[in-house]
Amino acid sequence: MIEALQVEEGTREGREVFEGFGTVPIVVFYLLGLAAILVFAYGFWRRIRKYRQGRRITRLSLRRLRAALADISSQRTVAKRDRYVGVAHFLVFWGFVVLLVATTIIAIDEDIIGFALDKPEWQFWHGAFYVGYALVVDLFGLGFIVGLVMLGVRRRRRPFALDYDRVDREPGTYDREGYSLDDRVFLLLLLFLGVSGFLLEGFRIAASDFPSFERVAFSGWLVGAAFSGLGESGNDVARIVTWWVHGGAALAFVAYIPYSKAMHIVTDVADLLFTDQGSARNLPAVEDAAAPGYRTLASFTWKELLDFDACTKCGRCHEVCPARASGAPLSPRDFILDLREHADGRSGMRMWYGAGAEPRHTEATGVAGDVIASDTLWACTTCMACMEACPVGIEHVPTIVQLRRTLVDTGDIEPGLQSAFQSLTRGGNSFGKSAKQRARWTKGLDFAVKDARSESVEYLWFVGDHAAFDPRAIEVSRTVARLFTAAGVDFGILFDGERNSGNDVRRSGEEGLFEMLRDHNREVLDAAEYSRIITTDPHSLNTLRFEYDLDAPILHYTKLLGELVADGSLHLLPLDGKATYHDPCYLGRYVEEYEAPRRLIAATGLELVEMGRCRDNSFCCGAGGGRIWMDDSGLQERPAENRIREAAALGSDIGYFVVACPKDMVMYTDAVKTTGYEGRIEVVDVAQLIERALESERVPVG
Amino acid sequence: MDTVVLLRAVPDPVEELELDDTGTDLDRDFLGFVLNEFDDHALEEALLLKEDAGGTVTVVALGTADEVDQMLHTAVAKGADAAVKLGDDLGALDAHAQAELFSAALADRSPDLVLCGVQASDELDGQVAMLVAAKLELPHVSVVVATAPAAEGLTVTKEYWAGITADFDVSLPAVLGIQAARQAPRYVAVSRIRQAQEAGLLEEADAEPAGPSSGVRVVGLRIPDVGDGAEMLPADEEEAADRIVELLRAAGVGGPS
Repeated sequence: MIEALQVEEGTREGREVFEGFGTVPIVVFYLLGLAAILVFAYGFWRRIRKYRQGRRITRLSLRRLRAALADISSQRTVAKRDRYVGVAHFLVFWGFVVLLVATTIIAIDEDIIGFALDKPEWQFWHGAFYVGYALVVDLFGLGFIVGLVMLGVRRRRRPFALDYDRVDREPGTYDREGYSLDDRVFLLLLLFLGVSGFLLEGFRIAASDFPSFERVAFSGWLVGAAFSGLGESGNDVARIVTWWVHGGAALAFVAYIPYSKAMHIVTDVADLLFTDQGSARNLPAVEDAAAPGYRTLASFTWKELLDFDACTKCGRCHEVCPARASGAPLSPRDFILDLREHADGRSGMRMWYGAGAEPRHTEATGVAGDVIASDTLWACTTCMACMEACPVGIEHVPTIVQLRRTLVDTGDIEPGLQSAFQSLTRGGNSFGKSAKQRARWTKGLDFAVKDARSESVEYLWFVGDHAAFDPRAIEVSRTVARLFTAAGVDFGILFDGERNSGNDVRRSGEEGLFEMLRDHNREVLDAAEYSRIITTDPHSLNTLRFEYDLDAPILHYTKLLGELVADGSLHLLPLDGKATYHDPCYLGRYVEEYEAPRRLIAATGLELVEMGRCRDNSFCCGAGGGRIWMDDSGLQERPAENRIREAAALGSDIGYFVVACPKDMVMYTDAVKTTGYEGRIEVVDVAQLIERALESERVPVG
Repeated sequence: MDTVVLLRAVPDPVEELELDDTGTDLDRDFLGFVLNEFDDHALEEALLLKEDAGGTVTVVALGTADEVDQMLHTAVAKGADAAVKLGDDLGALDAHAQAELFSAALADRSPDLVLCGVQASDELDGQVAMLVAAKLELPHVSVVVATAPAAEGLTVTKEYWAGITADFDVSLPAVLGIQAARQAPRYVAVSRIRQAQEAGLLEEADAEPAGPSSGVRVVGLRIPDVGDGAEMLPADEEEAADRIVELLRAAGVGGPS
């Protein structure tokens, strides 16, 4: 290596870009380059013009900038849960960046300093810099090819995520050949650029008789060595031919970018820079109360239009979506692609492969119920798995809710949802019960619960609908009340002053009803004296924390129970057995609390066995976003049943399916029955486990 | 075609119903009121007719409860063109008193069509629509489940027992008692109701009840006895028949086995 780096007498490390070219070929090349740049610039301008038609929102923050730089440089969002793709894309990404920088360096050295400024003495692309340059470019170029081959091999194996079949239409009624064609062209074009680059380097090294400093470009050197049989002149001819092929392909690629999947190089960087996962936690406000939601393309924000273009069809959202998995007519991927096709169709943006705009899209002006079918919009559980899985920061959930707002406003509404809304308007709960019955569950307790409206309390317990009205969830509420009392917690509830927090209502698109519920609750909360709010319901937790603008801290009960166990207020004796734990979407992905329930399970002495889909990859029970009120009889397999089967597959010794959400209690006790696992798996709330561990203390064994 | 829909507020069944001290009426102090479900269907049918054939829809309600304003705003939000509240704090009214007030208000409006729920949860004998028709001397069809504009007037589908239906050609003006609209009553977003409220379309008209005119007096009301629960019969026909016979015999019906 040291020998290779030694400078040979009488030579200087470097090379001529246009070695052996006359004036005419050089002029021809630059004219072709200009043409490619113009084609690129036009497409790029069309895209920018499209985004500029989007509604204005502000999305730049310094914190986001730092996170985006880390995401992009580490490629961690791509590598998440798929190491193979992560490594391959990392190699391709950095290979591309380095090759792009390398080309830019030559352009600066040759075209700007050498030609435009005419200062040959300032040129730097030679000597030690050249040697280092050659080494780095060779290394990353090789990685680029390896990564592309890995991705190509994966694509040949047809993984489910890359299957473009639609869940909402019959095969043959749509055409996605253009997508597949573009995938192949994109990959092969990059591969062709990489391979022809190495061939060019090899021919050049061989044609210039293997100058020893070029040995650092080991791959090119080896290619050259392989073709040394052609002789110097033969290699020079090969070099000239390959130069044009490689250069031509590179220019074609530049022109191709804005009209193809290659545009993701630009749109994904931008989307990661501007993304805000908080948009699902605190949904965007209604812009125009007279026409809520999105009626036409003009309603979408520029970030949403960018989202549509950012999609690379990687299929991760398609894979994780509980609606898609249960046979509902929703795939987050197709949702985004349909909107992209619509936006392109309306703005006259065409991909090179033609398609992208189905006729109905160019004619349609309505979006909700037209471009995107109502069934599709109602299928979403707002579990946020799509947003979490998306490597490029697309925000599906808020867009779905915006479109639901239009459906609600125009009365195009699922019947179950309609009756829930009517009950909520009347009694503030979805159970069709009188508001006065809200605290009736406390009658099953042998102590009185404080009324937080008239007495000052440390913890104000916001109970939520299911925990107050569903018989199975009521059992858990009573358990929690007993545990709080046993530990001496000063707590109270709002009795019939409480209304549904509005989490599911807001996500169902009924913003007016949400505001009504929120305003009522805020008024009652403002009149009460308390230092912290506690709730067993993750949905209320999210909405109280992110959508109510309250000053007090809002905690999930697992956090407080954890403190009570840790400080000895609740003394536990170990239970025996194995349990698995289901992360509720609104506790996990939304509020990002993964540890508190697990610590409690550990404190009971049970052995926790994780399901494959856990923590931020948890699989929704199917109840969120208003789905709990809608008809799910048309589904092939309810998400909750799918989940119970996953738990059962962990082994027959898993006795407990532990939940920490009242809706989960309801959904999974049903699912255990319908899947035939009743008696084998017990659905139990984490608070019930704690109480049993307490009881075991009272009845000493032996 | 100008249609008037008659709306009535009825006690909300989700509340616990209690009797007042006289034992002849519900304790109305703590009652919540909702729109009579059949009237909601009448409104829906009127809106569908308006979509079919144009015209206007006016909703007229009796001011018997605080919730009536909200019901009228909701009807406007759904698509009614005008809303009228008759009287205020009218309290409980029987079918004849209701019909009296409604027909008095309708007399100078001369609508082409009057729709009313065929019955109400507190008026199961279903008299209001036909009393209104009688007082206005207009043709009347009750238990209507569909309407369609015809060359002259309307074609109206009336439901009989055992699922039998018959179509009537009805010349206008007419009064119809609506059993069910062609489709479930539509949902209207809360924000739209709020807008209707702010638009202030609600017209208030004086109305004084002339007192009970039916000649029927409530002697007493009673909360139904709560039974011990129901027995579900087996799905198999033979077994179900055997069980029924067994139960009848136990109750002393029929001869010895």
